[in-house]
Amino acid sequence: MSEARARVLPCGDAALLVELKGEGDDLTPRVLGLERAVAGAALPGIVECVPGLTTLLVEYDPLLVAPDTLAADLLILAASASVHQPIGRRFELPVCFEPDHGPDLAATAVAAGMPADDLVGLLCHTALRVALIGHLPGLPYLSGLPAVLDLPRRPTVRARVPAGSLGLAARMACVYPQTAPGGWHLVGRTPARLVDPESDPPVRLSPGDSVRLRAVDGATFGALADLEAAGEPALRIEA
Amino acid sequence: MNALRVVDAGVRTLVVDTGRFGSARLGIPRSGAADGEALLLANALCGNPPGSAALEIAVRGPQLLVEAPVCRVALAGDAALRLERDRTRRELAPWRSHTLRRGDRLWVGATRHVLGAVLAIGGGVAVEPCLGSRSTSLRGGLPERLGRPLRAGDLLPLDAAAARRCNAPERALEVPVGIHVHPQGALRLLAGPQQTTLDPTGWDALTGAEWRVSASSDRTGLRLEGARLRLRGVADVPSQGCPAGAVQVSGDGAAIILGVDRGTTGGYCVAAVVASVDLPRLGRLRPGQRLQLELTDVTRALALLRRRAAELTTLVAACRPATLAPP
Repeated sequence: MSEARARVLPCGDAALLVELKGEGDDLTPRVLGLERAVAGAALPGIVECVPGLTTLLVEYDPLLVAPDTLAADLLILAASASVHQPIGRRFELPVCFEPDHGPDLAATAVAAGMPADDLVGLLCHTALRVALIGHLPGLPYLSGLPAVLDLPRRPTVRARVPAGSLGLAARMACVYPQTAPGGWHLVGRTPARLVDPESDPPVRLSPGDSVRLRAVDGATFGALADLEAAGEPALRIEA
Repeated sequence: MNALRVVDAGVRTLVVDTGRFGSARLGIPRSGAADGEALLLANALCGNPPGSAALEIAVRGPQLLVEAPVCRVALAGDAALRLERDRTRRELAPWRSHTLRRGDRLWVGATRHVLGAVLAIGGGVAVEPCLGSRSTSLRGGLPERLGRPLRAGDLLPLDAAAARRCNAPERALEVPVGIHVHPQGALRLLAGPQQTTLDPTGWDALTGAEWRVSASSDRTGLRLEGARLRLRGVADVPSQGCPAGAVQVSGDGAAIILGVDRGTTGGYCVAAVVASVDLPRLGRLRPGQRLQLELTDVTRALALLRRRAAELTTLVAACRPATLAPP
């Protein structure tokens, strides 16, 4: 791996952003590899590392480490770090694609140039991979979608996206683990809870897990939601 | 159990410490005190270690009933503090400690800060920590008790050993000349990773505009009103980790300064980042307050941070035994 495949961007006086460049539609195995390399190097003054889709944010204590020194160390680590592809479990996630659960499905299908049924079929036949957990507790960024779904985010952010909504943007899918503002195209909704605050860890998916979507109708959505509320997870490990 | 009983929760009272580190990989935000300096000074006044858990008060504070033999409290910030003891009420001063006894009621009044004043409690609020922190997170993922603001009826457990330290003299902050407890002036900005996404007129607007703090600001972010920033290119970036103070610009040119409850990653460009020295000030802003931003560089920002760290050391040392009469 050459140094040209990474650069260090300024990010204030207490963080640096290492940006990875290269081929492939999912750079997160390299991001996670760099995260491990930074942890392994035990550099002084590091406060926390935050993986992104193509970046690693390295927060540091500026009273303990000089940014120039840290930037140089990070470039060396980025050049030599190996890829970390976590071995994940296989999950099945029920999703209802009916209009009241996926208000943007029709428009998103038009944008992708296919009938809505074909978009649902495409989503359900794609082996999605948890690239990253981020933004909100337990929110998975799911990679593996074809280039036809490289859509910009919605121009305006919805103030309230219901918990469980399946969003599409930028060739990624995500599931909102809780009701929150959001700018992704909402094509469906799962009754599954992705976060269980009382368990350790509180987040049910991890990077490297694969997720297959299973289309369910509105009645099944309701029944699974009831079961989930009774403690029966709708997110199932595939046999 | 020695505790403070929450009789009235106030508008949004949170347990805060220095924040939850190492959980961003689960999407769990940093959280913690919006004004880290207020947390530091309130704890110093209580004789606590610097990162002890305290209460952050927004808009209007709680009413607390002391269910312990003694309990020490200290407020950093602009909220009013009132004590009811033996059916008589009187005002208590901020910026000094007070020792309460069983049956006392403490009212924390209104604060004009967007995010809040800090009430420290002797020995710290001894709630069970989760993922290394006692800070409330309003964004999910934590056990119910740490996932919501205080409610009437909650009991805030007290550290059993703290009662013994209540024999020590009260402490008050006697501010040395030349050190500002609350620094003023423009907030200093540094370049962010997508600094070139703002076009030159966008930068002129960011550093030249008379900004106002939107009333819809919260711990997730401070919304700035006063200008729309021109971008060259798209505002979207692959979701990236965002530090506190990141100035995020969305596609419509609106600017938000990300706060302590920010999402761990975000997909809008980060044009600039508030200098570390000015981050505690974000917690002290008021809705509608005018605000100016100016660009600096890392060398100057670090010199300011070192100077402020030295001032804070002096302020903590100035939390001396009070000469005022005890309540």
